[in-house]
Amino acid sequence: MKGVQNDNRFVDWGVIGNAITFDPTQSPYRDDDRFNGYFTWMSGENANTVAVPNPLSQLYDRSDESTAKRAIGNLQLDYKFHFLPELRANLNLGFDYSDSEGTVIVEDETNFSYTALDRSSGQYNEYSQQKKNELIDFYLNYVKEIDAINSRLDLMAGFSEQHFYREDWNRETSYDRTEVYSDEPAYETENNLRSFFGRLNYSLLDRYLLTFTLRQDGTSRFHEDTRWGTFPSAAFAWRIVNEPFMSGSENISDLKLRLGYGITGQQNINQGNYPYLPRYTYSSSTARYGFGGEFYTTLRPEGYNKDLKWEETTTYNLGLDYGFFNNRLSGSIDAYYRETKDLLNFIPVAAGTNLTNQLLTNVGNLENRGIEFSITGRPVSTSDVSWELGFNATYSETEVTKLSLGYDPNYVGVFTGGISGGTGNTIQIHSVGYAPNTFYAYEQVYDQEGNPIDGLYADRNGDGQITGDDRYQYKKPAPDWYMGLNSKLKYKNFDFSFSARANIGNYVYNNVYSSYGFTSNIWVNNFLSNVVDNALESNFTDARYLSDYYVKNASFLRMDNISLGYTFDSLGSFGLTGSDISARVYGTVQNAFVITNYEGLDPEVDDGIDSNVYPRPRVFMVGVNVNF
Amino acid sequence: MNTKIFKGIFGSMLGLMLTFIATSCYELDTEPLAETEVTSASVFEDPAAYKQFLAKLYAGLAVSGQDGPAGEPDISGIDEGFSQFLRGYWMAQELLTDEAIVSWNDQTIKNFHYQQWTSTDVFITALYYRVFYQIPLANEFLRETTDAKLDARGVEGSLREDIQMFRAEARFLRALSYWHGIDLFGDIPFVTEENEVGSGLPEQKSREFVFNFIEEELLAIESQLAEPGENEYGRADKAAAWALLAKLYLNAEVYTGDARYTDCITYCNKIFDAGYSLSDNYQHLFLADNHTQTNEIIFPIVFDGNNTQSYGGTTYIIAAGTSSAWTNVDEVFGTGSHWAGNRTTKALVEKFPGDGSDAREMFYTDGHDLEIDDVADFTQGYGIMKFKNVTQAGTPGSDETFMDTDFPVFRLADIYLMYAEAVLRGGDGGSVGQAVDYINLIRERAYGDQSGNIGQTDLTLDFIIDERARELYWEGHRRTDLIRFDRFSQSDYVWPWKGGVKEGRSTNPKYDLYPIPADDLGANPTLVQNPGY
Repeated sequence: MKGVQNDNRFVDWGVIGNAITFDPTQSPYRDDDRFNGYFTWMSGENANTVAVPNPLSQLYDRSDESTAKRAIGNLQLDYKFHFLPELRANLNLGFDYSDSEGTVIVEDETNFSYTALDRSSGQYNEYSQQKKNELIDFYLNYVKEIDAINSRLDLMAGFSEQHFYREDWNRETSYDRTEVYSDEPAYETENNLRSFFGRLNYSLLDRYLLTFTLRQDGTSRFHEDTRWGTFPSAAFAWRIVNEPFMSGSENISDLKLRLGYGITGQQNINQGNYPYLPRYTYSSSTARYGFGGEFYTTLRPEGYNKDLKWEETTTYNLGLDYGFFNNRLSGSIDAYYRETKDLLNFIPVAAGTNLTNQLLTNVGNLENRGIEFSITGRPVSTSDVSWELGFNATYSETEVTKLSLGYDPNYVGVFTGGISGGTGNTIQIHSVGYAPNTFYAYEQVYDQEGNPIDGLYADRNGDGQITGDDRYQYKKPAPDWYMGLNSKLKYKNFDFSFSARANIGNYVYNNVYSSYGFTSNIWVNNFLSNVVDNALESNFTDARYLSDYYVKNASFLRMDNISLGYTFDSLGSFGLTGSDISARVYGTVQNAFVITNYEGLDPEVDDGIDSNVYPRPRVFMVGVNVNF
Repeated sequence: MNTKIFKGIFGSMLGLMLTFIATSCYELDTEPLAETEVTSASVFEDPAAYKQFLAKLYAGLAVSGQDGPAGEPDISGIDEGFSQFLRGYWMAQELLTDEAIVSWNDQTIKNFHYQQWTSTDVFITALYYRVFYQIPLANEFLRETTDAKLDARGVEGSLREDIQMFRAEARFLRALSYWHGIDLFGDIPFVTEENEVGSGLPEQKSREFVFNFIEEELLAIESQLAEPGENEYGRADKAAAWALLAKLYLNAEVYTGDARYTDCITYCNKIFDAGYSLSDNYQHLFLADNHTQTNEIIFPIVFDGNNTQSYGGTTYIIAAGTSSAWTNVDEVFGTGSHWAGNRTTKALVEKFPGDGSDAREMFYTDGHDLEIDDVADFTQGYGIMKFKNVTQAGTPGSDETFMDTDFPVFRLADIYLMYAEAVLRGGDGGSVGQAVDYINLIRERAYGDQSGNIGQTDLTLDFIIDERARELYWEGHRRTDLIRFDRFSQSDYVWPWKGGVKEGRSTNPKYDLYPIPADDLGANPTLVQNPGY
C-alpha cells in the first residue's frame, strides 16, 4: 500500500509564445491601476482584444493550483499445493485510485481576459478528476524438471480482469463566484478488460528453449461479436555456446540464436469507451436551439462502428546474443519486421453512411522494420582501473502500406499535425508509401543566392497555379537512427561516467519561426508585435506556414549525463554490527550539451512540431551518498 | 509424464478458473455512466426526446457540436469553429464572389476568392460532410419515428400527432441539405432512411435524380407542414417548403437543363398569398432582435448569445467582418468579437449610387481603401456593416462574444426578386408589371421614397443580378446567383482578385462545381469526381 499527495502549480504555456511576440520596447507596466497595472494595447477607451496579451500579467493574474491524492495497493497470494509441489497458484489483486482537485483563478480586470462589454471578466473555475483502476489476476503455474530426458517443463494458465474508471467535473464562475458560467454534471466513464492466457516453456539440455503463449483478450470497447482477440506467440532459442562442439572455443563465452514470432493486439483508442454502441448525447446549455423563444436541449445520435475489432501487430524477430573473451566484449544483434493490420484509425467515412464524418475504423496497414545492434566492451579491468564502454544503434523505418478502403490514386491521405498560426492549419499527413506523420508542405523556391523567395512555391503538378495539390510529402519527424554511447571509468576511488544519445535523420517543423517570423506581423490591428530574428533571414513579409523552408533537419547528439565521483572507504564502523561506513561525493550535469544544426530551442520535439516548447533545464547536481 | 496427473492439473486449473469467471467483477457489456450519454435503446423512454432530437436537426445548421461554443464537435478533421454549417456555407457562397474577400492565412482559405481550390481543401471537405451530416441525421430521425417504432413504444395522443409534423420537418431539412448538396457538388451520394448506419457504400446519383427527389419530398410533405407563420418561430412551415421549391425551380435549368420558371412563379405566388410583407426598415432584418421580423423572414437559422453558441453562424459573419480598429465598434455592433477577416471588393461598392441615397449601402470606409493591393490587409477593401448584434433600440445582444442575430435563409425580398427573374426568363403565371411593382417595394424601402423606383424597361436580367447583390449581399446567395447568370467562372464578369490577380481574370468553368472531397473518394471508391478535378 502506498499513498501520495502532490501539490501542483501550473502555468499557461501560451505565456511563452506571448513572451516571444510581446513588443519588447514596451514597459510591462502602466502608469495607473487599470488592468491591474499591466501595460495593455488599447483600442480607444477599451483594450484591444486581439493584441498580444501581456505575458507578465498572464503569469501573475492567473493561478492554477491543484492537489492530487493517490493510493496504490497490491495484494499477492502465492499458494503451493501440498499434494503436488510443482504446482503453484497465484492471485494478485491491485488497485490504483487517484483524486485531484484544482482551481483556476483569473483576477478581474486583467488584460488577457478582457472583453469590451463586460469588463469585470475574472473567473473562478474549479475542476476535479477521479480515477479508479482495479486489477484481478490469477494463474496456476506448473514447473517440472524431467531429468530422464534432460528437460524442464513450465506451464502456466490464468486469467485477469481490469477495470478503468474516470470521472471529470468542472464548474466555471465569475471571480467573485456570484455568477455561474457553466456547471455541467460530472462526466463518468469506464471500460473493462478480461484476458485468459496460457504459456508453455520447454527446455531441452539447457540448449534448446521453446516458448508458446496464447492469450485471449476481451474488451468492453467493442461489440460482443468482435470484442475477443486471440493472440499466439512462439519463440525458439538455441544456446549454441552450450553445444559440445563449442567446447574448444574458449574465447567465445556466449552465443545464442533467437527466433521469435508473435501477434499482439491493441484496443487503446482515443475515442471514448463506447465507440461501437449506438447512443445519444445531450447538449450543454450553451448548445441548445430556440423554438418560439424557448430553448431546447438537443439530442444527438453519435456516430458508431459496430464492427470494431482488435488491431493486430505481427512481429518476426531474429537475434543473436554474443560474448567474447570472458564477456569482456558482449552484445547482441536483432533484426525485426513488424506488420500491423486492421489499424484502429480515425478516418473519413463514406458520406451518408454514418452520423459523423470521421470514425474509428479498422482500416490501414503499417510496416515497420529495423535492426538493433549493441556492443559493450570492457577494455581495461584491473584492480585499480576499470572501464566499460557501451554503444548501441537502431535503424528503423516505418511505412504506411494501406490507409483506406478505396484505391483512388489521387487520394493523398489523412491530414494531421496541427500547427499554431492561422486556424486549423496542418503540416503533416499519413500517406500510403510514406512514414506516418510525414511533413506535407509546399516546395519553397530559392533564388540564386540560396535565399527563399517570399511566397513562391514550386508548381509541382505543373497546372500553372499553386493549389493544395502542389503540396508534397517531405521528410518525417521520426529518426532513421537512434544511437547511444555510455562509458563508466573507475580509477582507484575516482569514478567518471557519461551517457550520450544521438538521433539522426529526424526533421522538425519550426513553428516558432513560421508563426512569428514574418514582418507584416509587426503592426496588425493597431498593435506592435515582436517577430523572431529568422524574419531577417527568410525575408518573408507574410505568413508562409506551409513552406518546407521551415522543415529542418534536427539530428542531434545530446550529452544526457556526465558524472564524476570519489568514494571514501572505511570512514569508521557503524552500530552493533560494526558495518563499514563509506561515502561517495559526486558532481553531475544532466542535459550537459546538445550538438545540432537545428536553430530552435531544442531539436528533440516529440511530434516534430516545434511550437511553444518549454525549455528543457540543464541540471547541475552535487551530492554525497553515505552507506552504512 | 503421467497423463493422469496432467489431466488432474488441467482439471483443477479449469475448475478454479470457472469459479472466478462465475464470480467475475467486471462485465464486458458496459453502458454509458454519464448523465449526458444514453443508449439508443433507452433514449426514447423520455417523451421529450423526440423534440430534442428534432431540435438537433435544426441546431445542426446553427452550432458546431453538443458543447457550445466548442468542445463536442459534430464533425472533425477541421477546426471546430470552421466546421459550423452556416460558416462553411457562407464561405462557399460569398468568399469566392465580388461580395467578400478574406485576409486570413488559414489553410487554403484564400483559394476561395482566387477560384483555385482542390479536392483536398479542408473547408470544402467540412462543408460537404456538414451536408452529409444533416442528411443521415434526418434519416435516423425518420427511422426512429416510424409507426412500428412508435407503436412498440406506446406513443399515442398529441405527442404522436406532433411527431407526424416533426417527421415532415425532418424531411424538409433533409431536402434543404440535398439542395445544398446538388447546388455545391453536383452528382452526390444518395441515402434515405432505408440506408441504416454503417450499411454499404451509397450510390452516387445524378443532380437530376436528386432534384426530382427533393421536389417529390417537398410536394409530399407540403400538406403535413404547419400553415405559414403558424408554427413555433424557428421551425419550418409550408412557406419554407414553398420557398425551397421556388429556389429549386429557379435554378432548375442549371441543375437539370430543363427550365421550370413557371413552377417557380407558382410557388412564389403561394408565398405572396400567405400574407407576408416587407419590413419597414431594411436594417431591422439583420439585428439582434430580428426574430421579430416574421412578416418578411420566412425561414431563419436561430441564434442566441447565451444558449446557441458557436464560432460559426452570425457570430462568425459579424465578428469576421469587423475590426477592433473601427470607431466605437463594440457599441455599434453590440459585441467585443472582432476578427478582422472579411470585407468586400469595389465590384460590390460600385453597384450602389455612392451618395447614401440607398439605405442598403452599409460600408465602413474610415481608414479603409477601396482598392485591394494586398489581400492579407483587412483595411484594403471596404467593411460591411449589415449584420449587427444590437437591437432596434441600440442595446447590445445578450452576450458580448456570441451573437443573438438570426440568419434569414429565405425572406420575402428574395422571393420578389426570384419572381421577377422567373418572369423575365419566360415563366408563366406572372407579369412584368407585377414584377416591377414588387421590385419597387424593395426599392422604396431602400430609398425611403420613390426616387429609386424603376420602370418596366429598366427591368432586365442585368438589373436583376445587380439588384440581388444590393439587396442580398452577405446572405449566402451570391455564388448560386452568379452561376445561374453565367457570370461566376470564365471571363463574362470579373472582379478584383478573381483568379488570384488584382484586376481579376477569367477562371476555369470547372469551378462552377466544387469537387467531391478526396476524403470521400478515398472512403467510397464508387464515386466519380466532377470534371476537371
